[in-house]
Amino acid sequence: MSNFIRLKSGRIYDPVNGVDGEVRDIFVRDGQIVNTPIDIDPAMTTYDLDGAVVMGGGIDIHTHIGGGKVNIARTMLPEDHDADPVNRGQHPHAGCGHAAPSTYTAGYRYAEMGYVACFEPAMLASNARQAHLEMADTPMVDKGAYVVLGNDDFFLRALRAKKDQQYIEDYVAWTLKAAQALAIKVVNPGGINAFKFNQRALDLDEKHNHYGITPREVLLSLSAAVKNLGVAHPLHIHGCNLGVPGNLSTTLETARALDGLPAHLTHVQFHAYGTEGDYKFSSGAAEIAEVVNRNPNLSMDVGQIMFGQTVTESGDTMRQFEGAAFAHPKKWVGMDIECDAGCGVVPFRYRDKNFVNALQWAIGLELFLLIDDPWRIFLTTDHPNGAPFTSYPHLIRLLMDRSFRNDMLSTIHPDAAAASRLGSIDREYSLYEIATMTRAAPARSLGLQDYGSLGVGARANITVYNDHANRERMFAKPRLVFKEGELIVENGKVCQTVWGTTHMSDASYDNAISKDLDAYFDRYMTMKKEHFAVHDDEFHSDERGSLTRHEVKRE
Amino acid sequence: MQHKASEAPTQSPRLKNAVCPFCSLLCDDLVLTPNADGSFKTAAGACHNASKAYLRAPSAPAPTLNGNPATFDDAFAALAKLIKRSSRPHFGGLATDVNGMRQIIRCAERSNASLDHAHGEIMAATTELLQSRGYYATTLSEVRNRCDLALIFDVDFAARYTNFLKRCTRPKQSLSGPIAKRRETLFIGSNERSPFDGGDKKELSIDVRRGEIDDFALLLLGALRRKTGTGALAKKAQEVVAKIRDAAYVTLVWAPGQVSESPLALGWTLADVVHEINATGRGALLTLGGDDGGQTAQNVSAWTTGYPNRIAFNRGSIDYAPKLNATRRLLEHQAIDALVWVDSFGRGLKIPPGNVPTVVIGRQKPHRPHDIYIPVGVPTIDHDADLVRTDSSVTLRGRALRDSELPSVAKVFSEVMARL
Repeated sequence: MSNFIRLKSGRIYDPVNGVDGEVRDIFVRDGQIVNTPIDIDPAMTTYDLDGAVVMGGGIDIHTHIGGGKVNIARTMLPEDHDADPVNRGQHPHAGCGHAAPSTYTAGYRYAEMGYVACFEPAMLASNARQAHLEMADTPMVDKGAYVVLGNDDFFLRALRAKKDQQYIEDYVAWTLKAAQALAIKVVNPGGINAFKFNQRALDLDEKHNHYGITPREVLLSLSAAVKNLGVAHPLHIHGCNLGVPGNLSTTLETARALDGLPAHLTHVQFHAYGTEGDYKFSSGAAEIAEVVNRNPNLSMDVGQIMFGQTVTESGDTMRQFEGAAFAHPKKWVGMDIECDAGCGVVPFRYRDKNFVNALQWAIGLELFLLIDDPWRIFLTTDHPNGAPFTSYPHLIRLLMDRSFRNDMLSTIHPDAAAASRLGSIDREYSLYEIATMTRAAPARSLGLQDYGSLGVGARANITVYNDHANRERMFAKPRLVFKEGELIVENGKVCQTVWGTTHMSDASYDNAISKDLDAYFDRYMTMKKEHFAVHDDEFHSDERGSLTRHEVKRE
Repeated sequence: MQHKASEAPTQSPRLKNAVCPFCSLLCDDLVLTPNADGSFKTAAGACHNASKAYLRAPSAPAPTLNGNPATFDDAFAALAKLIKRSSRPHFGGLATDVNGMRQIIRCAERSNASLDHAHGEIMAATTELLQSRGYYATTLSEVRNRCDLALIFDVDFAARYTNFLKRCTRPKQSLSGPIAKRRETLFIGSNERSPFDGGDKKELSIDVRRGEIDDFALLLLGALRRKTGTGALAKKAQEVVAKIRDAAYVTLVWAPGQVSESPLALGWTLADVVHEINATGRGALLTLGGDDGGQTAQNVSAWTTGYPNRIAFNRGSIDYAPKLNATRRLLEHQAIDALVWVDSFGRGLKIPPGNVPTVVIGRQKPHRPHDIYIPVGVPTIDHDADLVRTDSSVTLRGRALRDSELPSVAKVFSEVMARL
């Protein structure tokens, strides 16, 4: 009966089922949450929770945990690792932590925060095999990736040739399968490609010098394709002009351009800048919040920044090239990749006494607090671009504890504090809302029905926290974490290593696209199409991983 | 099996699109015909290194212990015993695939071993370049389709990377149509190394002596910064800079393992040149290197531990000390008490001299008998294998081409760990 578990008298926060702090028992059998049995078997393993807080396992919808750019960052930053060494004993395997953690440390630390699933948001199809190999070596969590489209020459040529939407959809479906991806992301639509042609900026309606198409066309084509294919997660959009003062107008225009199409705007904090004030840098959080509040087709994650050293890793070569001037320490890598996309890795230190950084911090928090619906806003730092994911407990405290937030606000650059409306916002997130934005909502957005829930039939991914007035302490060290019914963390420490599955969306496509791609690869690429594609059996090659297919139905 | 010449030749199946593991270009378009002895004949288009390597028949020798034939079980047990007894084992060579490297690292963590790849010295230099300044890089398909000016710094294509020109600078078609037509490739290096015979006006050589490549790169940098030097070399540099200013996408190609000067110094200058080009135009660096699984070892080490090549596990912690953990140095200073040398591609990587118990896990039986020899299959020929390409952006999976009884490196280390 060891697989039959009773979690007795927990205070349950389960937004999927509308349960808000009710004290009751949860029963788990064979990895699933089950109904209360008629007879309670005294032999079942019982955990007396005595009113401790119970949520589903956390889900990070946007965290850079695997792939070429992550590995460049790891290789580049031994000094960052040396400041946070992880010895065997602390975890079952040695590694390193902080901004560019090893795969082992990333998996273990996510679990130790109560998370059970992580999604790599910027996998290049040409680099998909490596991204999956890295994620396969990331223990404890389930994973999946969003494959980047919209800068690859095949797509841009198809768009220029005015191929019909059906054709684009076939290509998107083929790419999902070839890269074994769960969703589609676009990064600086067309801009990474334009940078290869020495274009230094590309606004929403600006024409790509070579292809003559605009980011607007890329966005509309891809977001419609994702919707029509029936992929659960809408197009994941890293828009134009990341980090550019005044990009607020582009972001608002992007939201308008989508015109009701489902879309997820990612790390919006980096896209929410006005040009007002003495520093010509101001917060656009209120305007963006208003648009998101009004448009139920939109969801977003924040990409909150935290003060301190980190490393920025992005596919957006155009913007990373500009940002490289601010690299700290002074080193960085850029890369044009395989007629597919690119990457830029720039270490960076956010400083609370720097006006721009301080206001970035405030803008992120404003977005969290001004957007009403926690089902459409997800808690992220765009790990590690805004901050390492290990800062989530601190971020949760900032959201839940107004006086703490205001204390922090008083320590940042005074002009930034004055320029922000943060101090006037009273809102404090409730535990129910935190459970929504870190569990229920990401699961729903990704189409993972049996995640993020404590209802009967859900996977028994469960995190138990000791209630503590200091929410940072509370969320940093869960008392118990179960993954599919297995106890994996006790008192904030890993007690069992498990290996997760990889989720992918399987959409059907017309084989004609495959023939076109054969010709394309033979004519232009330096690898064959058959080698570009990652095959199902590769997920079992190290006897650790597995692949979970989600068949999606085309409209 | 004896091949009888008198028999009517049977139609051997041709194997298409095989992934070649014998240099880090990882050409994946090889057409192979199996020979009766288990080796393969390559079709036209394969380079001479690949043709030779695929012709090597599997000899399937048994493991040996102190020169005497032994079973695999005995060999695994002996290796486990040696590692257990050793207080400071070292795993060198590391010429293997992703799964092999994964198991090597797991075994190293359990046994307090240090790690260094056969090309560790060169890889340490390029890693230092990355860790101290970084650079703007590019990949093979980008060069093929985007690059209209390729500057090749003294790469010895006769020795390695032979098919680079065919795959990247010579295709007549490119995604950006006119680029392939106007592309110029300049070989900057000694005339004897130049792959160009002067027959193609778009393929030119600039004769720069070995040892002066770095000087020439510095002159390029100076000319880009509008500093005019004097002398014949400076004049050549100014001519190249004129071409750079006209180009849409410049690629600097170098092979740090083949240069006579310090790879770090030359790499630094080339990275500076690229940086200067990118101030107003577009340029990128392409590094050819990381052969024999080097690029694979670097990447697997980086993701599983955070650190690239040349780490040591030390009672639960990881010491990243690229200068200290070099195989040659550890042997010279007798800082290790066992050497496990992994060489699965069969290129006969030279084991640095030393006087410690030595184990060879390899494709070919070494000439000198070692304490333990364990034969293994060749990745992508005897078993499925993932390898990382020279540009580090593409990982290819090659599928086994023949039935083999030889274990993979991954299998050897997992068997050993089961006995630790």
